[in-house]
Amino acid sequence: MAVAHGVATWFCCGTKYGSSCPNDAGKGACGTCDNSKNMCAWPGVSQACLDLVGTCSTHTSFVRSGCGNTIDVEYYCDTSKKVTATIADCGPKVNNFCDETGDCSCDICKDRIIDLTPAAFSALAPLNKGKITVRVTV
Amino acid sequence: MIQKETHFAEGIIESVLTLERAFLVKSENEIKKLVLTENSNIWKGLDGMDIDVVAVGDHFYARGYKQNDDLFIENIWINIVNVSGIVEEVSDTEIDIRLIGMESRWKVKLMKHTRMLDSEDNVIFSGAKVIQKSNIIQVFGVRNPGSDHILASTIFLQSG
Repeated sequence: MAVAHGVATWFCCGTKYGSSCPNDAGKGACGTCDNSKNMCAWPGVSQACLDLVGTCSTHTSFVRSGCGNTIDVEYYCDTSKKVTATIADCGPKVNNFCDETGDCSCDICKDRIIDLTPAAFSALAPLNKGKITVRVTV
Repeated sequence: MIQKETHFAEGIIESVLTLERAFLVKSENEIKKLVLTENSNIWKGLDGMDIDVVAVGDHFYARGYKQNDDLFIENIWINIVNVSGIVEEVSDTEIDIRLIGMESRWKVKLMKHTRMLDSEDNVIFSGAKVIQKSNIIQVFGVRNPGSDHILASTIFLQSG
């Protein structure tokens, strides 16, 4: 079991309900992603994903954990908010967000670390907050 | 009995019941009606919007307390989108982006209430002037059904 800190945002896996999703037909890299379930995109889902998303110079390495495994995600600014998310996709594109910080003071929380489905993110904070600081246990 | 844990739902608004302050919805989450309470928050670009901003055909994400087929709303987000893209064109009122990992291009409309933040969450007061071609931005806002426009609520400027 490994613990890491960083920034989380949310993403739309794909929806038949239209306007919210840039990729309406998507089901994620694992083929199971569902906006309404507590799921996530994790860079360590495969070596191919790690190669795709890149890294930042200060970032801890991502633990390998495949489709269907779970990750515990805790909101760093309010540790009473927690969710267990099932790995369902590859992401986030880490090297596009280097040096990014989250929404509360945390020296070790730089850089994007995980993407959550709307169901999972909204269990921690309002969707319109956009991105939050989290601690993940893989 | 209302559950203590909140429940999530996604779907489409099929009917707005203004007097009842509720929505009939199409959803796969065993929810047929969304009920507003005095504590409900409607987001459609901004927090605290009233029921009259919600239209038939609007997409929603909602979280609240489930009772039978009803969801008593804590928060509902109408037509919310979250996308990251590479800036291709920028003006004082609009930014064209190409979505990361996709070929599609969307227009981001800057609104009076649009907040712009840098990668460390500091507010950018100088507006779109600071954004340049090839910058990466993450945009939260409202995308009306069938549109390729986002009415931006928050823009995070990530990198150059």
